[in-house]
Amino acid sequence: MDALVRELQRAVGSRYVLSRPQELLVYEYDGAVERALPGVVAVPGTAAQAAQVVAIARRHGLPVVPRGAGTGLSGGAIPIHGGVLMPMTRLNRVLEIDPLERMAIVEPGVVNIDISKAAEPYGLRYAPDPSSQKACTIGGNVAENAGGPHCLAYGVTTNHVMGMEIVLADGTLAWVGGRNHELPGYDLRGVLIGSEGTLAVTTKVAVRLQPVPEAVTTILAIFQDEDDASAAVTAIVGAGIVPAAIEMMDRLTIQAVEPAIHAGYPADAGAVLLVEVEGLREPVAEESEEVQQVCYRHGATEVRVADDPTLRERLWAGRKTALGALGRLAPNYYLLDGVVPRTKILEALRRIREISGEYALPIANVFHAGDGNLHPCILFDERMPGQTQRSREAGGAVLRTCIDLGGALSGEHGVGLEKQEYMELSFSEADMDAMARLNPAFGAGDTFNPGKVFPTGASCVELLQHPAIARLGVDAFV
Amino acid sequence: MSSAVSPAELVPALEGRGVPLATDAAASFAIAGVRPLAVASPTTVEELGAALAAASELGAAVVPWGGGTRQGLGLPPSRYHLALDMRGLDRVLAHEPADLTVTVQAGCTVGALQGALGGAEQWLPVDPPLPDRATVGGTLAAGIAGPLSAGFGLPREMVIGMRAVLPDGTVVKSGGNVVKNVTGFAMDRLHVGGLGTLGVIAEVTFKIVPVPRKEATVVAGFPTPHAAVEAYNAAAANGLPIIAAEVLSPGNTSEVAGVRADGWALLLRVAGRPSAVERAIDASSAACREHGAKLGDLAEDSVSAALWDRVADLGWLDAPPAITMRIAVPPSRGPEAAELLRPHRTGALIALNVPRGVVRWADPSGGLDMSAGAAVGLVKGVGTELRHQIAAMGGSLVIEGWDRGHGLDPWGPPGDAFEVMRGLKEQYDPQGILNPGRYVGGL
Repeated sequence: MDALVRELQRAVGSRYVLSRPQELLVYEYDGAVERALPGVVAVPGTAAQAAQVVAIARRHGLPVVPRGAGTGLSGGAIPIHGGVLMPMTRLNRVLEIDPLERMAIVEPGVVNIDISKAAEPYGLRYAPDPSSQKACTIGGNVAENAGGPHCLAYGVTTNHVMGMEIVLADGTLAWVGGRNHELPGYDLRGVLIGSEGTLAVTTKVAVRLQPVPEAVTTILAIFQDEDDASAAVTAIVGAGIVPAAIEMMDRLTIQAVEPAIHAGYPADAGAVLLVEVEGLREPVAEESEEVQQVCYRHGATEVRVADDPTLRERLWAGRKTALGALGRLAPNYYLLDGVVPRTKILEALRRIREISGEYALPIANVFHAGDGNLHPCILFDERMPGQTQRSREAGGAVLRTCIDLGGALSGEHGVGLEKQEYMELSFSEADMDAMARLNPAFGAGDTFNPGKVFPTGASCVELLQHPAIARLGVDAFV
Repeated sequence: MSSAVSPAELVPALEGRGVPLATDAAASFAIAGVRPLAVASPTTVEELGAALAAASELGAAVVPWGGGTRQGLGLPPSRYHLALDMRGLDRVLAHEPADLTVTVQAGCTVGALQGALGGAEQWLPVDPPLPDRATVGGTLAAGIAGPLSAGFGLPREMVIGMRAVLPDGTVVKSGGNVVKNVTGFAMDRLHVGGLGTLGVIAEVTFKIVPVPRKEATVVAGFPTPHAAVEAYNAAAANGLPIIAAEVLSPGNTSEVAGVRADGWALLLRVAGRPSAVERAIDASSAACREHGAKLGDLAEDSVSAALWDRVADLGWLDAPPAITMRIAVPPSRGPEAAELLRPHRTGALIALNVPRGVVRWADPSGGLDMSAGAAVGLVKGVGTELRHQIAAMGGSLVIEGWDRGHGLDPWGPPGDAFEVMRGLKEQYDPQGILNPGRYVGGL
C-alpha cells in the first residue's frame, strides 16, 4: 500500500492522495444505499494524470472507481471492491465553446448546469437537466446516461454528447467521436455512454448545445383523480404536442407538499400535472392554450399558467420540494426509477396502489409522466421491525410490474449495485453475456468499477438513510 | 475455418435447419463479380438465427443484404458464401401512436414503414436515398443519414431498442419499448453503422415524431458556399424550426433537386405549426437577403416534401451511382470542404449538410469507367491529396463504390481506438464470418 500511495503521490501530487481512514470515510457513499471504503483516493488534475492513476492501479492489480459529484442513486460510485477511488472533480474547466458549431468541450468534473451557464452568453444551453444538475457532473452524466424532466422533447445524455476523450485500462488516452459528426467505425461513444464507468474513464466531453428558447410557458393543472391526470398526459401527446416536460404528482405527494410549501393545492386534489412548452412565441402560446383545453376536458378542476421566470418557478416549487416534503410522512424512503410506456401509466399507478396495500407501506409517486419514467417512493420506518425488508420486497414488486407492462427497470438512475439482481427480469442470459463481452473488447478486465450492473447473485442490501441526500437535500435527485 | 466451403455442404446445412433458400438468385447478390454459393431468405427471426448458426458451423462467410443499395460501401468481402436476403422480415410488429413508438422488422423498407406510420400522422425522420428499396436494417447498419439529420440527429438517436442475431445464431436484445431506458448497455449502438460486421439487425424499436402540421422550403442563391453558410448561421441563431439545411453546388446539383437558384443554392426546410413556419419563412428569407442572396421560389407543404425527396436522393434517382463520397468535417469547415471537392470532377453533385458539416458527393453519370483517365485521376486525387486536406481539417472521407483492385482504403484511417474496434470484432465475430474484410481497418 505504501508503494502505491507513493506512486500515486508522484503522479497527482501528495495533496491529492488521501489514505487516512477519516479522509476515506467521505468517499464511502454516493446517493444510493450501499457503502464501501476505498483503499486510497487519488484526485487527478489533468487527463494525463488520470491516465497515470489508471496505469499505477493496474500495475498493483487494483480497480479504479471513477467518481463525479457522488449524486448517483444506483451506487455507481461505490468502491465495492476497494481499490483506487478517482474523483474527477478537479478536471472542471470548460475548455471551449463554439457558438457557430453549437458545441462545447468540457472536462468531466464540470457541473451539469455550469455548461449551460457558460453557454448562456451565446444564447445556447446544454439540454439534459437531471434534477441534481446543480451538483452532478457531466462525467457522471455520461457514465449513467442521465436524463431529467426536460428529456421528453430533447432526449437524454447520449443524444447530446458528440464524443469523449477516454482513458482505457492500459492507461492510454483516446478520443471516441468528437466534433466531426460522422467518423467511420463502430460507435464506441454510444456504448460507453451509460456503461456506468465499467469500461473506461472519461477525461473530456464534447457536448452539443442548442438555442435557449425564446418563450417558455408552464401550465399547472389540478385533478381530483389520478386516472384523469394520466388520461390527460396521453391526450396531450395524442394531440401531436410534445412538450418539453410533463411531470406528475399523486395524491399522497400532494398531501405532503401542501402543508410544507402552501402551494394552494386543494385538500382533496388527486393529482397535479406540470406541463412546460417552449420554443417560438407564437406556437408556444397556441400549445399552451391546447394543453389547458385538454386538461379541462379531462376533468381538471383548476389550471394555472405562467410565462415569466419568477411565476414559473413558483409553479415548479411544489414539484421541486416534493421528495423533501415526503420526509414529513415517514423517516425513510426507497426511491425507484422504473419506466412504462406512457399509455400504461394509469395501469401502473393502479398496480402500485395494490402493491402499497399488499405490503402495508405507503407509496408516493412524483415522476416524469411524459416519458413514462415513474419514481415510486416507498415510505417506511427502519426502526419498525420488518419494514426495511418489506420496502425492498415492495420495490421488487413495483419493478416487476414495470417489466410486465412492457417497461424497463431504470429510466435514468442506472443499474449499478441497486438493481443488478433485477437485470434478469429484463434480459436473458444471452443478452447479458453479449453486454458483458464489451469488457474484454475494451481490455477492461477488473480495472474499472468492478461488481456493477450484472447480477452477482449475492446482493443483500441494508437500506440506510442516504448520506448524500442528507447533504444535498432529497429534491436534488428526481 | 477455411474458405473451402462448398455448396454441397452449405445448402443441406441450411435446408436441414429449415432455412428458406432462394434458388437461382445468386446472380442478383453478386458483389464485384463474386456470387454467393447460396441465398437464404428468412421470414422469421428464428430462421435468420438458423441460417447464421448453419453458416457459423461451416465457417461460411455471410453478407446480410437489405435493399442492396449500399453494397458498394466498404471493400468487397474477402470471402463470400451466403447472402442473407433480409427482405422477408418486413413486418411492422407494433405501432403505438400514443406512445410515439414503433417496432419493425429489419427487412421492412423505410418507405413502407413511413407509409404505415403516416396513417397516424407520424413519421420516422430518417431519409436515405431510394427509400422504397432501402430497408430499415440496412439503412441503420450502413450508418446512412440524410438531410433530416440536421434537425433530428442521426438515425441512431431514434433507436430505443433492438434485437440482433450474433454470428452463431444467438438472438440478443438491448434497450426496450420505452423512450427513456438506461437498463443494461446500449448494444444497439454497435450495430448502427457497424455494417453487419458484429451481428445482424433483426428488429428495431424507434421513437417516432408527429408529422409537422406545415412545412416550407426557402431557396436562395449565393456566390459562394461560405456566404450561404453565413446566411444559415444568421437564420439559425433565432432558434427557428429548421429541420434540414443543405447547400447545393451550382448548376446540375440544383437541377437534380429541381430548384432554381443562381450559384450555390441554400435550401432551408422549416416545419412545425403554421405560425412557427410563417415566422421561420420570413426570418430566414430576410437573413438570406441580408447576406446578398437572390431568393428562389418558396416551396410549401407537399411541394416542399417532394423537393426534399430529391435532395435526399441526390444522384441516386433510379440506381446507386458508381461512386459516391461522404466527407465529414467540423461544421465550421463545411464550405471549405465543399469547395475543395469541386475541381475533382466537373459535374459531380455536391450537397453540404450545413449544421453537421457533412458533404455528400455523387457522380451523376450513373457509371464511371474505372479504367478511364478521369477515374484514375479521381482515385489519385481522393487517395492522396484530398484525403490529406480533409484530414487536416479534422475530417474524414469515406468513398463508396470502390473496388479492391484500386488498392485504396475506402474508409481512411480508423482513429484512436482501433484496438477496441478490433477487440469488438474478436468478441462478437471470432470466426470472422460477417462481411469479412469489408469494414474500417479491414475488419
